[in-house]
Amino acid sequence: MLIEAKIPSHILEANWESLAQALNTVGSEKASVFLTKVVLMLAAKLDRPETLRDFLDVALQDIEPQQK
Amino acid sequence: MPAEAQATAVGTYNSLYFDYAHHPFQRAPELDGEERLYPVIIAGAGPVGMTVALDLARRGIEVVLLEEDDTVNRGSRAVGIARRSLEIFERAGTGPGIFETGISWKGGQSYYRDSLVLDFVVQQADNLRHPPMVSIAQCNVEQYLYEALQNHPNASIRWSSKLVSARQDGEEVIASVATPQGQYDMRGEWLVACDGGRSAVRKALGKELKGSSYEGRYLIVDIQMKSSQPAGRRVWFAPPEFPGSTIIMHKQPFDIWRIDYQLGPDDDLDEEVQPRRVRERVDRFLKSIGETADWAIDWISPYRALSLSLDSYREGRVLFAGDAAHLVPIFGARGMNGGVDDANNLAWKLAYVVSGWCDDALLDSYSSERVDAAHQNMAFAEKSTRFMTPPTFGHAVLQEAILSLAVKEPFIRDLINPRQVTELRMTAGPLRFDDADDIRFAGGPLPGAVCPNLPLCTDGPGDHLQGRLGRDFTLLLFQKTDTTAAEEMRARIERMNIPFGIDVVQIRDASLYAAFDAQDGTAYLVRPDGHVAGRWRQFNADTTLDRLLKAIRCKTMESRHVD
Repeated sequence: MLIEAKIPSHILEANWESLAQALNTVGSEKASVFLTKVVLMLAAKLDRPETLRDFLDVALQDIEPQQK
Repeated sequence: MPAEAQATAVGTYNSLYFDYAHHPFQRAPELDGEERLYPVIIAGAGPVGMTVALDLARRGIEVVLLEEDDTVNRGSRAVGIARRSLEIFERAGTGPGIFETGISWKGGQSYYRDSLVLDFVVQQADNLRHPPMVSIAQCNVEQYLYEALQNHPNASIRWSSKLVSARQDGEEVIASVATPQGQYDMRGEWLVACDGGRSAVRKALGKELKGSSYEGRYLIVDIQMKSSQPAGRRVWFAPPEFPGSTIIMHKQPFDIWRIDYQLGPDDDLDEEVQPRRVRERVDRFLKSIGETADWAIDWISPYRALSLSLDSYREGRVLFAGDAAHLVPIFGARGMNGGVDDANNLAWKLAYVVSGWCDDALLDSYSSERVDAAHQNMAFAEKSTRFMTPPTFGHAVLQEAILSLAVKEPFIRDLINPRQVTELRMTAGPLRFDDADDIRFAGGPLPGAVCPNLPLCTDGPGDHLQGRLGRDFTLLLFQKTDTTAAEEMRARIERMNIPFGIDVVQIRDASLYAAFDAQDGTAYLVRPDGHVAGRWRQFNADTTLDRLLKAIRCKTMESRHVD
């Protein structure tokens, strides 16, 4: 487990909704570019550059890679 | 031609700005049964081969260059000349012509769609003699090198003479040369392969380049146009007229403009190189940047990025340099500049070995130092390439994300920086003296770094440090007051019977004291190729020069006598 902090439900829900709305706005074709921009900005706020790699490792789990 | 590997001219070529002299074939003595052993044969009279030849010739070594063509290279090819190459060319004897003819620049702009996302300047001290970059066609550079070679009767070029094969037996190298009047064998003590990306020498010796190649393709187009567009490197990512493409523009002398544009994965290369098609694309691009001047196509060449190197640049009596040794992606201008650096590293070492001053093991340091430099260059160039022509889905997503974020967010703009070529520090090797004393310096060029070509204020305007460096080694002795120190050092070195020169240059200039973090007694030992070998707060000639002689495998007086 990487995120140990307890995030209040209303904040989780607000993030959920605003991300969903933003993804709807941008559409499926540019979703990856859009999310990458978000990640680059969040990563710039991190204290440790290694943290992003930890997040990527967790996010890569339990997701089916696209068949090549 | 040597720089052939990555860019091939299409069709016949008549330059709009360069008057090609075609040199008649001259029958080689070997064709009539005469033969002799030449000290050094160089395959390929491109910028690297001619720089090696020039530096060897000025050191008194006889050289013969073999060149397949009957003239200098066709097309502009490598147009970005780095400051370090300008220094090397001038030191080798070209004079200031390349610098003065070229278009100086020190930065540029990148645009994403309609927005400026990067305005960069290559960082360097502002009082160096040369700018970070000049743009000038390779044919002009080769012409200056060729003219400088005419001052050396011990250097000759055999035009229309292609080295097709080479073999060696430990004592000498035999080069097989194809000419319009037949083929002959030529004997050399040493062969320097500067015969480009498709090196026949490399093939003959069974050596392979290793590394990666990139799928993304560009078309390079030179046009002649009278325009007031700015100099420098300008890049348009996904311009409105060309979504999904990248276009680069550089100003060259003689109203020539280099335009590189990215081809799509489905574009048919045979179709895209047709002048009709090129005209259509370039016209659309020029209109999109508000350019209305008339223009004409000078040269068209396709390009694909390769990042490859040999594991070793020495194979017995054969030495590899330039594109024959490594192919570096075009972005950042590390191809020809890296090759010129090879030439600068190799020539003095080869001259010392040919002269019998040093054991041939000195040439192994050429290989190790320059293989390491190629890997540094390739790492930088590959970063640029991954941005300029994204090789994977992930890199393409990141390129678009970074560019679109950069419109409003400056923090990310550094990733768009082209990582333009800068001089490299030698990271290791036997010729770098990292003494414990070195930690006492708070500034100044580190061992392995290039000695900066700073102005000498006390010796009149226009005089720069490089002009003071000797042909061989130079000891920069910082001494403001003691007028006898340099004389004493010269006398001491004289008594050591060293076969090559160690010039002692006394430095009094306050600005150089600051730039080198020097105190009275500080010394910097500069190699013949302009790199700092070591530096000391208090220089001890006996111990340090003894180390130097061992490091460069200098033969003792006794062993030289036996030889």
